[in-house]
Amino acid sequence: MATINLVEELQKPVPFSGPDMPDDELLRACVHCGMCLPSCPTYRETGDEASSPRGRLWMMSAVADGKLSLLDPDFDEQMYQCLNCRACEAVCPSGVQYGPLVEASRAQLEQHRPRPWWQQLLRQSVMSWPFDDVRRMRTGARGLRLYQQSGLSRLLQRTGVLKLMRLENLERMLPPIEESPLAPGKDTWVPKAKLANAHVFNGCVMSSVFPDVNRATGRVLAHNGYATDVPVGQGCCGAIYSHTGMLDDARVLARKNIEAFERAGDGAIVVNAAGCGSALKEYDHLLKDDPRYADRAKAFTARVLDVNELLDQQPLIPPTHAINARVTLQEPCHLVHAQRISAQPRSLLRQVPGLELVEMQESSLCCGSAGIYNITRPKMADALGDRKARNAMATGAEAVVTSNPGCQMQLRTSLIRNGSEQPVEHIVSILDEAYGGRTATGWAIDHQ
Amino acid sequence: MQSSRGLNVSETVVIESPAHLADVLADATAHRIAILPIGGGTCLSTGLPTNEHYRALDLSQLSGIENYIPTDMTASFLAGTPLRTVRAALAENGQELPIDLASDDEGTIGGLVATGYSGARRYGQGTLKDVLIGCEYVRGDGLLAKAGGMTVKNVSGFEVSRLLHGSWGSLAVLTRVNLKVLPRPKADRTFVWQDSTLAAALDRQVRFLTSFPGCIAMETTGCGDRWTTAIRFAGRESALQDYQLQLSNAEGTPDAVLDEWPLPPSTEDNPCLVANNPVEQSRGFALMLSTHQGVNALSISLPTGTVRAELDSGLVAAREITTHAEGLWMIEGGDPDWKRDAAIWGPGRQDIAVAQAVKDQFDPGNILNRGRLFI
Amino acid sequence: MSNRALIDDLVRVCGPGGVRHRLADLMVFEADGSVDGAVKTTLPQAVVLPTSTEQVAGVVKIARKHGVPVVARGAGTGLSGGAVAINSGVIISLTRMNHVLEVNLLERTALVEPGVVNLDLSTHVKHQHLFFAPDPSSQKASTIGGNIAENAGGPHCLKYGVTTNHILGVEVVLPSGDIAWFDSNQAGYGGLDLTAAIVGSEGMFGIVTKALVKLTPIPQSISVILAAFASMDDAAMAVTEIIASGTMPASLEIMDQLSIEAVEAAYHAGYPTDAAAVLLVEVDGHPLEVAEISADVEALCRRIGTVQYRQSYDPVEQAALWMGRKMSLAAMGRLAPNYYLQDAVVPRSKLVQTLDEVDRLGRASGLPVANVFHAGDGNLHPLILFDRREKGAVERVLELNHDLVVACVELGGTLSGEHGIGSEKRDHMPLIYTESDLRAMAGLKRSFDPDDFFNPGKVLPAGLMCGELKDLHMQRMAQKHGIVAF
Ligand SMILES: Cc1cc2nc3c(=O)[nH]c(=O)nc-3n(C[C@H](O)[C@H](O)[C@H](O)COP(=O)(O)OP(=O)(O)OC[C@H]3O[C@@H](n4cnc5c(N)ncnc54)[C@H](O)[C@@H]3O)c2cc1C
Ligand SMILES: Cc1cc2nc3c(=O)[nH]c(=O)nc-3n(C[C@H](O)[C@H](O)[C@H](O)COP(=O)(O)OP(=O)(O)OC[C@H]3O[C@@H](n4cnc5c(N)ncnc54)[C@H](O)[C@@H]3O)c2cc1C
Ligand code: SF4
Ligand code: SF4
Repeated sequence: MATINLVEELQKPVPFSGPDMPDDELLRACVHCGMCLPSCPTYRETGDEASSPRGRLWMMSAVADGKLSLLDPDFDEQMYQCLNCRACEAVCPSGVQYGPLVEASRAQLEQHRPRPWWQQLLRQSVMSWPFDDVRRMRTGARGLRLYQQSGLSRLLQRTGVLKLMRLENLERMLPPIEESPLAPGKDTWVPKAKLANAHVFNGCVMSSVFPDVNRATGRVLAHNGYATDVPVGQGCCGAIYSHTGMLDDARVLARKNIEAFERAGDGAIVVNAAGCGSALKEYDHLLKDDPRYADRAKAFTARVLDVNELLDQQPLIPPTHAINARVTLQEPCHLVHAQRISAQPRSLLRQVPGLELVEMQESSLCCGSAGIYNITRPKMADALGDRKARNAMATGAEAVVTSNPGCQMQLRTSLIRNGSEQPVEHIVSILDEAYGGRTATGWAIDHQ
Repeated sequence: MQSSRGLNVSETVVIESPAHLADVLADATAHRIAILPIGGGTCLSTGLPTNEHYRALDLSQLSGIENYIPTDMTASFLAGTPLRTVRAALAENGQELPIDLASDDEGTIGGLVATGYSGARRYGQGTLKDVLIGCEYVRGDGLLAKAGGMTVKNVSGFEVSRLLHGSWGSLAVLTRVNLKVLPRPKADRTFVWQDSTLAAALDRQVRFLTSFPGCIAMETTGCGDRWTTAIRFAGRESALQDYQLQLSNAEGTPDAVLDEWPLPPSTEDNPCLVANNPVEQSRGFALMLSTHQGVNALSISLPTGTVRAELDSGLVAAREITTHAEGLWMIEGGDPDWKRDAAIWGPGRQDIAVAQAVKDQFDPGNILNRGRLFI
Repeated sequence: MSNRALIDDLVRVCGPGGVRHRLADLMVFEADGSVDGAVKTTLPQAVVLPTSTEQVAGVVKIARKHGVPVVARGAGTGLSGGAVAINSGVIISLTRMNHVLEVNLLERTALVEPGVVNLDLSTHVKHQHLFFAPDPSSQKASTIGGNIAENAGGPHCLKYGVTTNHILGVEVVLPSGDIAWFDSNQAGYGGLDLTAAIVGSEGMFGIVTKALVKLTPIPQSISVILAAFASMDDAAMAVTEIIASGTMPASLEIMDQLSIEAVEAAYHAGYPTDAAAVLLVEVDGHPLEVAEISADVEALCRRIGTVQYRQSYDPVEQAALWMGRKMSLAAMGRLAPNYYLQDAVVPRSKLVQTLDEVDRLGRASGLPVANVFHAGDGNLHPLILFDRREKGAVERVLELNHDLVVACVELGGTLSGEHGIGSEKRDHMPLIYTESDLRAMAGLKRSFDPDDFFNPGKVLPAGLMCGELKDLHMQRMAQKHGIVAF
């Protein structure tokens, strides 16, 4: 008899267990109405209920109810096919909080499922290492710059070694890097007439790959009255960890950032990377069970503003340089869905003299970038990238404007793949140009 | 033996009630007697001519308005209610059906649903199918049943009522129809222009189509070098005056402004060809032609006595035009002998197998209107 | 034959990417938008995602060969269990057939595949100043195929009519696996309007693989009016008078006090919380006409004694006025975790009486009931609020629902105005139809699908599709008329 029980035991679906289980209350909030389906990029591509938010939530409930095993490969597949773009959350009439649920499900998978060694290795090398310290990321970026310039890059692309290593996509995404990164604690921008303080969140990818955008952010903020600095001690926002279920790693980084910005004094914490912004705004949830940090996380979260949000709180100081061009807007998921910021970038662009905004179809559908998604799931990411490129190209705009580094890279590669020359610009770079760019006056740079 | 519009009627049964009708039909099915339900008898000659000897059903006793609540904007009519009665009752409450009914119309509401006739307003307001919310009927095999109800919206059960619309009494005999009625517009106006070529008239129609989507009807009629194009609006006076201004600016002053839609010439006397899709040319045949926006159908009606050769060439042309426009066509009147030779309901259809299966279910004895739609 | 053989055959038609058969992938198809408990969730044997009519026909033939039923599915937003394979079998999901194939501007028609999402079609033709008029609240997600199968309606159907008024023709795959085109213009022209029968047939007659739909010009001018009243009677009187005045607004919607409170708490839509009812009126058409009618509506509402009146021509403000109505379902979600959406219709003149009944029954059951409804056409949407985790909650909801249905039917109403019967309201059908009525409907089903092979177990109460009943009537008649058999 004992053996039979053992067999039964083995066949029983593996349930959720241990820390970070999907919150049952949140899970039951889904009434299965299906209103979220068309806004989900993976459902739009596949037409398959399993690849939809409602399908994924149904699977999570099935695991919670013991009808489906946590270790069912199709469950695993769906939890990671999801881009965590949160489009479903923004449209759900019942207010289902999808993000925390998928992150908890992933955390469960990370805890309970043995990964093949090569995947573990890949994840550790591609993901964990460079991101957990900005300095290391920067070293990496410097290395990359060298690599891009040396011609090694072309050689590797041709030999296909990268493809083998699944790094090919990472390589394709990288723009040529020109500037050196900001210096935390050193770079500050002083406005003529001070309105308030602002502290720039540096970000890993932004600071390493797009340091020019961070500089432009400082200048544009100063033009608009913000005494701006880059606090020392800050690090990666941790999104990359929370999205992949590595919640404890994310918590370490969160505590570090909270401390850094507490030290920086009053004023808004300004973020120009939508992905980082939405992660920072969720620190309160991430640390809600940490008695020492729960309240501090709440206070921190209350100070975080996306750069679009901050600048659009009042009319811009009128930009001085006309930009006679037609542009189209791509809305980063973590801006439009996670932070519900959609009107602000449009309002800002309208204030730039000469600029014309032409809307593209599906401007808020995920471009396929989604953190490291385009590295781990190149096929779906490419399909979504192509879709986005086609929509952007159909507008006939001369440039695509967005405000997230991941999107910038993904859009660039997708446009190139589809034969388009359209450049991709961060909204702050456009505003900066409208104020005269690097050579403008009206504020002072101050290297301490 | 009487003759009703060229059909052989061996006896007539006056129907007293739906239950009576059910009995009559069950009996006829049992004995395979061909049945001809007659409402007003105004269009019995349409359709395939047949040599059947029919037992006619006089439905005139099933007459009356039941359950007309003007504020509900719904009304239920017994099928044999004359159209003039329907019209008068609705008009009293400032309401109407989306079909122009003449005040002396002899037809019945059941007949109108059975034939699926619609008028010029089909373009803007649809057909009776669009306002049909329920009915009571007796199937060929004598089963008395109802579908739908008295609510303006209803998705409870399958849509039998709308299936019976336009089925020419081939599936069941209607005993009651429930309709949604419409408020009568404050004003109703038609603007008319003359052209000397059909091409010019049709161009005008296309311009109307693109620039005046708010109109409720549009039609071109004429022959030779006299073509008339009419466009009709309904609503508030202010809007109609503005439409007139816009039309005059775009098309010149209209040749006529009418408060009554010119009802199409009686088909019994005047040859008349009705087509929906703009036709490029009259194809050289000397019949009168008119195009209606709203239905992909062409109806040709030829006066008895037209020379056979002319009829045939008219038919060829009509067929060509319809095929070209992906439309449907049928012949309404005409000499029975000639009709017998022509495939009068128009081109062959893809759905015939399903249609036959539906017929077999509703009328297993093939007694109802035998020969008209189904052989 | 084994499931394996079925899957292999299906893969041959749809390719491996077009067939789902593993547990997790099937599980997500066991339900639609209806309340779990009102409709039993059932696992299909396989799900296919075809991309062409030919594939659909191929799948139908294979299912026939294996003797398993077929259920069509669009977006699965249905509220009556229509797309749930309650007898298992193969689900044909039409979501990959989602192309607008042709738009004819002169005729104002579009030829579309069934998986096109309702709102996507309107977006597609928006720059031509056209739209697809049927606007179910689910229009962001539900498909044209699902709209056709359920004969969907929405707020603007008061003026523009429901789905059936906008379908000119359909291509269908029949239970035999044959493909046919039905043209609704044939009515009166020598054929039967089989399209009319397909609309509202809940996937039981044929699978729609293409549809020719009517497009409607976007009105030149739109005015949105919000009028709040101190009593439901006043609001209902306003509706009656608007209609009696001989104008047909595009929509006439009412929300009751509980709905207003919920909406205000959740979204601050600016609706007066002390009002017993809010009436939303939308008037459209020629600008001069719209202005005149709006003025008439205002005069009429003021005479009745509106406690708050707002009107707007501005799209942004209009959206704000509509917001409370549009978000009402969501707002309920904040009052209770689950809701059951009722769909009865009553004659317009019975609205107030019906609402009183709803209120009385709701109180008696102890479950809160909110009302948001299409006042213009008498389509009620009582929302029963509950928490499914409470023991016996679902049963109590179903009981109350039953009482509500009976009350509506007694007042001359019907079971469903737009959500369909499915398996959910199937057993209520005898409340409004006699056995003969239902037998005639079963006859219609049989002429399309003699073997009860497409979506079995829906709409018709159990027993109606079995052969014996059909013969019963024949026998009775044969006896009566003195012949042995037909
Ligand atoms: C816009 C417009 C245009 C018209 N054009 C024409 C025209 O061109 N020619 C013309 O003659 N009339 C025309 N009419 C009038 C038309 O004849 C009648 O309105 C109606 O269609 C026929 O009604 P009836 O009762 O006379 O039918 P009948 O002539 O008595 O019957 C016609 C057919 O319907 C069947 N039928 C009748 N009553 C029932 C019932 N209760 N149940 C089932 N089947 C039934 C009959 O069996 C027969 O097959 C037109 C009407 C309108 C509104
Ligand atoms: C929040 C919410 C609000 C809603 N509001 C409304 C509303 O205002 N008005 C309204 O009418 N409905 C409403 N509904 C109900 C639902 O959205 C409609 O019934 C819709 O038409 C279903 O479309 P679907 O694509 O989701 O179809 P599904 O739910 O997938 O299927 C519905 C039925 O259609 C059949 N079917 C689907 N596609 C085909 C096809 N191609 N051929 C044949 N049969 C097919 C299925 O077999 C099933 O019987 C609402 C639903 C929700 C969840
Ligand atoms: S997540 Fe929200 S929108 Fe999606 S099915 Fe659930 S309740 Fe509906
Ligand atoms: S987060 Fe994005 S990809 Fe994931 S289910 Fe929601 S909408 Fe789909």
